[in-house]
Amino acid sequence: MRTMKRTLATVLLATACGGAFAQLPFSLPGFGKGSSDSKGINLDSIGNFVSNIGKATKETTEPEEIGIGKEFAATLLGAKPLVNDPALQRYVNTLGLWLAMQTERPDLPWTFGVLDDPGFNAFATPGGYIFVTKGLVQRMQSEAELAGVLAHEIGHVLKKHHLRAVQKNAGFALVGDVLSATGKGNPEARSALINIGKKLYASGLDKDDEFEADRLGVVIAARAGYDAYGLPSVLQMLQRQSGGDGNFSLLFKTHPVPAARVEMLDRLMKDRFDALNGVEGQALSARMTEFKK
Amino acid sequence: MKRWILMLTGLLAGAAWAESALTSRSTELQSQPQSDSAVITTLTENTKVEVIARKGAWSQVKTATGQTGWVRMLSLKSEVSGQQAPAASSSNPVGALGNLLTAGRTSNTGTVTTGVRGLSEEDLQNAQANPAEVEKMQRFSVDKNAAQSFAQRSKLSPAKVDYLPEPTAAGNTQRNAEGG
Repeated sequence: MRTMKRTLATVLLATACGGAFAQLPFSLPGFGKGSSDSKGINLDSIGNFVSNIGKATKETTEPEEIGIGKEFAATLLGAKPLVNDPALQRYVNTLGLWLAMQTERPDLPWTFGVLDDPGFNAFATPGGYIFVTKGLVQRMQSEAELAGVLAHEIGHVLKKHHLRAVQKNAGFALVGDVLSATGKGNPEARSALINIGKKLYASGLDKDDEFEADRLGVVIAARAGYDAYGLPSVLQMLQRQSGGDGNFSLLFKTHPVPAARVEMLDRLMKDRFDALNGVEGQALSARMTEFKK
Repeated sequence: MKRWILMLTGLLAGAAWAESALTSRSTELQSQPQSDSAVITTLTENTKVEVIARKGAWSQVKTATGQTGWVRMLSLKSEVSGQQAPAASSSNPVGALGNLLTAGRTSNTGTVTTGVRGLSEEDLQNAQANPAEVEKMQRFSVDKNAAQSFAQRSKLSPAKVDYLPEPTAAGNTQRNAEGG
């Protein structure tokens, strides 16, 4: 079993990610542990990857979670790079960390990035990698709105929504992707993981995960001192948006309809946040001046 | 830089130009953005209002009969439901400004194909891992002291707020039971 774990770790480390990942003690979770049914395990057998990844995330350690998140982050950044604006990137990291510090997982390596993309979307990957598109940032009417969106994504990380979805989809995806691959098993394992990620970000999480992230998001923003209604306000803006607009199409495809999200928050928020003096925050232009220093 | 100025203009525009909306449920029009303020009238579901301003949980609205007051912002919905083509954007200055912000987008209607579109399924499918960009992203990360000092200079006071419960299937009953 140890051999197997080491092999997997080697596979993952021997990726394009190279040295940057080398100090991370992660491997594909679940491999090499907890399998008492070790008879007949064949390292070259693709079938084992299916079963092992399938049960993998139940026993995922935090370093493993972070490692998977980093793989997915690299994929998203492969689709769209960061906006070349250090002040904007530092600002979003600072705001994002302040929000994450109000949660039960303040010590994850929270990292935030603005993707150079005109569309309107936001993504989270396991372990605390959060992305918003430039198009989203430009359409925010206040800092409280941006805080609400970031807090929604933080919610996905807190509840390990993507990690659980990987686990749920692993069997299916590996049958599709790994079995069709030729050659020996190991390189396919990482490639399969990445393919699961691509499918996941293209198809979206379960609706209930999105609703849960909304519930968490309004609270996290409020805890950080912002108007809790930033996220609901963004959702109301989305209600006014056209589904035929290509800048919103992936978001609409991967999320419940905005009206249903607003309706749930209406039902739950009521007067719970009335006594708080949450603020709207600073204008983005002021923040850019501030963070250019 | 230009786009931030545009966005600032958008903020001002949002405050200056009214936008119409419908009530998504029966809701009380109140004199102040406070739940204990006087109730002016009760607006039935699907009452059309002009939204004048927003303050936290509240939106200031004006009714067709000229009454002005405050309603819970979440009791409002847009005149078109999400994912349908909204009315011409010319009636919505904020939307029109949004068009300016998205190069190549000339219309808000669902039927028009746009030259520019956001990250797509195809982009994801074709993506090659970019670990160098991950490293770059990490270089922009900050520590807790930086976040703390950001909060202090921004007058962001942490508040103790419990997470919201999962909604029950009997959500409507619960709403009635708990009242306002």
